[in-house]
Amino acid sequence: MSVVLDERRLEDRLARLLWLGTLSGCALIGAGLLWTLAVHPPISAHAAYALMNAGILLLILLPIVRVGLMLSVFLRERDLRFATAAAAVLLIIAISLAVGLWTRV
Amino acid sequence: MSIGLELWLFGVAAGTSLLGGMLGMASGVFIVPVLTLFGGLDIRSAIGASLVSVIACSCASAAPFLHQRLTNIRLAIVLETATTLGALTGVLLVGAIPTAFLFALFGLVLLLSAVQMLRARQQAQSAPSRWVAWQLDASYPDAELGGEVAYQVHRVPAGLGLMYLAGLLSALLGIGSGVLKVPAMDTALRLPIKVSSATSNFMIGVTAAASAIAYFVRGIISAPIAAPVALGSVLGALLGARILLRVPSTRLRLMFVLALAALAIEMILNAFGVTLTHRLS
Repeated sequence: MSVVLDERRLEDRLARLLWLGTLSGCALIGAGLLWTLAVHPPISAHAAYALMNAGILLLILLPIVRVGLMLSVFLRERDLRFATAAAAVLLIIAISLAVGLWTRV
Repeated sequence: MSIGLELWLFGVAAGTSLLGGMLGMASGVFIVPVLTLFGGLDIRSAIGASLVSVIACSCASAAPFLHQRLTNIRLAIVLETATTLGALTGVLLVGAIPTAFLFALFGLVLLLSAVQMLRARQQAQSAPSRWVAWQLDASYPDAELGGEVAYQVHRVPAGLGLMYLAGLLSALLGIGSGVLKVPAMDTALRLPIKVSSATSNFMIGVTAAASAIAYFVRGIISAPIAAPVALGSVLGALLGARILLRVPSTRLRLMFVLALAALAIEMILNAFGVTLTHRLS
């Protein structure tokens, strides 16, 4: 019974994280877009692009944070099989980030 | 960046994902062909923008599936090791791949998507699974069948193999790779269709993020292109899921198949240096 309840709590936390994260990312992007539309000619295009980039980065990080949350819950439940899978996903993403940083196309 | 182009990008993304949402299908596969063939954008920045919108749509639509307990999060994390590894392979390969090859590969994926849309998804028969020890089996509440439906997960290695390829395609083409995920989830793993859709939607976000993070730091993801596309597609998808279909869905589905086939032909012609469309910029 308690296992089912824990699972439900994790599902609800993931749902809340993903929904609020999407809203925040879209709000930043929307603010940046409105800024470029409103200010014409764009005096402070840099600030508008910074807002858009912050929103884009937040959206990219959101599913990665979601895996981090799952890892912490699996570790707390001593569910090593799925904790290992979550850690492997984070490691692969870290390697991808490193490849992006240290190679040029 | 002109305001006209920003509005056009927003409108195209909102329109395609509205139609996709009404049909319950992902429309990420339309973004790159439309941006390159009609918008005249470079295919690599189109792929970067498309990846951001794929992530945003996956995250935006995940909550209802999780609340209804349709998403199998344990199965998802296991399969995500394969999809992210495929995405990492794509990040390593993409610089060495000629643009013409990307166009041709995209055309092929569009053709296969059109064929897949014509066929109805088959519910696999359940049978005893040899993968019980992996503890991936679960159950979900089904209103139509009444009560809790238990299911078993089959052929995990075949599923992982297809998921690796799905991750690779996602990184190379900036798509969610439904074309490979549907056979992986329905045919190899034999999941109930509702569980399959919810779980693959959940996985698409982290799969796309694995390559998008590398492209973001490489500077391939351009804010003035990715921003309107991501915002438009999230709004379109959320709205589309709430609109009741007044047009018969078979006709809309046929329209989608024809659009996919036409774009497929144009992408393949483009790979050979033939352009038919009039470009905006």
